[in-house]
Order: sequence, then C-alpha cells, then structure tokens
Amino acid sequence: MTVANAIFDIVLYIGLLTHIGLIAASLYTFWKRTLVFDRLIIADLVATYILALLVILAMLMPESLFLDVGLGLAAIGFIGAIALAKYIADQQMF
Amino acid sequence: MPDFVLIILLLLAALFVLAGTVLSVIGMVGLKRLPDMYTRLHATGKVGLFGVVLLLLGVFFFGIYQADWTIILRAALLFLFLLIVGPTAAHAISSAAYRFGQEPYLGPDGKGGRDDLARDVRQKAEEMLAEHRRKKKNEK
Repeated sequence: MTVANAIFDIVLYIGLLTHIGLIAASLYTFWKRTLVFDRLIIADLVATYILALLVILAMLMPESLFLDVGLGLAAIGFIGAIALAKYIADQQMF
Repeated sequence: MPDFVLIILLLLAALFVLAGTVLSVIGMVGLKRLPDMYTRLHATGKVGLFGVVLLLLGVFFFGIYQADWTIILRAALLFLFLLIVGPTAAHAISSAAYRFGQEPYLGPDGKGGRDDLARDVRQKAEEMLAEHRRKKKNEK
C-alpha cells in the first residue's frame, strides 16, 4: 500500500516538473518565433499546459477545487483563441 | 474495498498520468520540429486532446480510489468540455490562417501533397462569379 502510494507520488512529481519545463520551453518558442499564427498556437498550448498542471495538482493535494479552476481556464482560453483567430482573419473583432 | 484493488487503482492512475505527460512532451517536440504552421497546429492539438484527457482518466481512477464523488464528476465535466473545445479551437485557428493567406507546406520542392481546400475555394469563387454575370445579363 505504502509502496503504491510512493510510486504514485513520484509519478505525480515527475509530471509536475515536466509540465513546468514544457511551459518554459513553449514560452521560449513564443519569444523566438515571429509568425503570428505560431504565437496564437503557442498561447493556446500554454493554456493547455497550465490546465494539465492544475489537474496534476488536484491529484497531488488532493483537492477538487483545482478542477473548477481548470474548467474556467479552459473556457477563457477557448474564447480567447476564437476571438484572436477571428480578429486576425477578418481584421475586425465583431 | 480490498487492499489489492486499491493498489491496482493507484497504479492505473499513475500509468495514465505518465501517458499524458509523454503525450505532452510529444506535442512540444512536434512544435519544435515540424516545418509548417498547419502541421505544428496538428501536433499541439494532440496535447489538448490526449495529454489532458489521459490525465483526467488518471483522475477518474484516483477518485474511485479515494471514494470521492465530487472529483469524479468534475473530471467528467472537464473531459466532455475538452472533447468539444479542443478541435473547435484548432479548426478556428487553421481556418483563420487559410483565409489570411498562409501557404501550406507542400514538400521540399513545393510539388508534393495537394491542396484540396484551394480547389474548393476556387470552384466556389467561379460559381459566385458565374452567378454574378448571369444576374447582370438579366438586368440588361
């Protein structure tokens, strides 16, 4: 029992550190790439990685409140991606 | 629940968390290495669908292990929301890029692959032009 708990905790910490590193790497890519659609993709990707981080934290604490926060973050990221794509394609917001 | 069932649930949750982390890394590698904006979008779309959804499957097993209904229901809600939202956002971004005039990558010599959407767009434009001409002729 305790061995399984220890394995689960180690896997969760590995996932947490990997996602933090992936957020840093994608922000560096955001800095290097200049095409506007690349930056739009990477903004969407960073929101997804933060969502994954929140899901892992919900298992690590354990606290289901993090999943509520993740739902709000996913909704705001979706609306932002749609609005920015429409703004770039049509040169107007509405 | 008996002890070995709890151990199996925890190990399944750990397996799904590892799988989701690996898919997140694969999405980042695709973003770094693929040649084109559309193919990069294809690679990063996998993170939103498979990476987070596999993590949420891990949350399912963890919720069964903890016998905590609130965490299972919230994970199910987030699961369904992500399944709808991820492809929609990717389609909106790629459609905006195509309307903006972003060229797809057609191989190193520019002849490989094919651009089906260009044919459809051209066909629709020709139809609209023919309609316009017919209307003008009727007015005269």
